Parts: sequence; structure tokens; C-alpha cells
Amino acid sequence: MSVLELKSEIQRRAEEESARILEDARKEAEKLVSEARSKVESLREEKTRNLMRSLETEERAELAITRMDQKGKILQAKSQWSDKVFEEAGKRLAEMAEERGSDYRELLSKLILEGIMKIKDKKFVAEVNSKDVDAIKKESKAILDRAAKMKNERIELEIKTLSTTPMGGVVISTEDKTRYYNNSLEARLFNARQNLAGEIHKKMFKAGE
Amino acid sequence: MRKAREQAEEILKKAREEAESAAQAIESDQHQRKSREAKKEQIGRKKAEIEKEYKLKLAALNKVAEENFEKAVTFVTKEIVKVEV
Repeated sequence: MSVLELKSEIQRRAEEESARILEDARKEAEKLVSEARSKVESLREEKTRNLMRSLETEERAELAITRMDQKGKILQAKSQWSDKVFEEAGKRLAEMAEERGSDYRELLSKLILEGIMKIKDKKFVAEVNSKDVDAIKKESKAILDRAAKMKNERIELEIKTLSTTPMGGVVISTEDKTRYYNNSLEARLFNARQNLAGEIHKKMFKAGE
Repeated sequence: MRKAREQAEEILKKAREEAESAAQAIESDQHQRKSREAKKEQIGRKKAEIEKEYKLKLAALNKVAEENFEKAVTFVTKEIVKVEV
């Protein structure tokens, strides 16, 4: 091989090597970009999935809170209506007591009798509003007769003034004050609140009745 | 040969930059932002629907309660003065 031929051969091989290096680099670059794109796409999909999941959770939570708030308003309205009913009932009882008509006097007698029947004893103290003392004194004989008949024994009743029953009604206690039955209108109103709340809800919020 | 190597390195450098830029694009993805905004709007609409639904329920409840109020007061008053003796 001549020097010229040798030079030409070296140049050809160098060109081949350069072409191979460039081809390898291009392939490597294509692979790199392709892998990167694929990775980006998969990351994007994953990120979108995560985002949608978190948005769905956010939506469920926000809507649940909104529903709870609204239900709270409904419950609050029901409670306010219920309060209004008992408030109005209290006003009517107070008016009835204030008028001190025959109905109220009859009620007082019954309240005393009920108290006497609830406690096992024969000597009682009936504490009433100062405005009711006279009315009770007038009715006491009839009350005692009825009580004696119902309990089948002689009953004694002392009438006293109780300042803590401004509305009306009576607090019945034994002579020694160890037992008592609070039949004041306030106590009955309070008990009604505890016992009738469910019934009131049914009556108040049932449509079409 | 050296020139070919330099060209090859340049090709790889550009490819790496392209890959890096694609990765960065995810971080500031407009599609994600739009999805979030669309969902926010959807939630807002659903919340408004729920509020409207309960506003109607509340109005119906108040109407029924108003109608039944007198009956309930009469019932409570009668129960309070009902004495079994």
C-alpha cells in the first residue's frame, strides 16, 4: 500500500467513525427525548389522577359541610318553633292563673290533690302563690274530703305562701319537709318541655294535618 | 473526529435540555389549573343548589309550623293542666 492509499484509508475510516459517533449520538438523543416525553406523560397522567382525586375529596367535603350547615339551620328553626310553642303555652297559663277564674281554682285543687296522692303521708303543707292562698283556703275542706276519700284516711293540710311560684300552682310537701311534689305551673311547664318535645315536633312539622 | 464528538455532545446537550423543559412543563401545567378552576366552579354551583334546596325546605317548614302553631300550643297547655285525680 502506497502512502497515498494509506492516507486515504485512514481518512475513510475516520469519516466512518465520525458518522458512527454522530449516528450513535442522534440515537441516544432520540432515546433520551422519547424517554423523557414518555416519563412526562406518565407523570402528567399521575398528577391529573391525583388532582382529580383530591378535587373529588374536596368537593365531597365542601358539599357535606354545606349540607350540615343547612341541616343545622333547619334544626335551629325547629328548635325555635318549639321554644315559641312552650313560651306561648307559658303565657297562656300565666294569664289563666292571673285571671283566677273557676277553671284555675279547679286546677289548683286538682294539683294539690295530685300532690297529696303522690306522697305517702297524711300531714301535708301546700305552698302556693300569695294570690292563691284565699282561694285555696276556701276550697280546702272540699280538697281534704276528697283526699281522705281517695287515701282512705284523715288528711291534714296547712296552707303557706311560697314566693317562688310567681305563675301559680302548688308545691306539696310533708309536714317535716322531707318529701315534696312540685306541682307549680313552672315545674309542670318545665316537665312538659322535657316530655312533650317529640310530640310537639310531630304536631308542628307534619304537613297536611 | 473531534468535531464529530463535539457535534455529538451538542446533540445530547440539546436533548437533555428538551427533556428538562418537558419535565418543568408539568409543574406549571395549565390543564391542571383549568381542572381546578372548573371543579371550583362546579362545587360553587352545587353548593348554591343545596342552599336553594334547603331554603325551600326551611320556607315549607316555617309555613307548616305557622299553620300548626295554635294546635301545638293548645295541646301543650292542655297537657300541662291535665291532672289525673
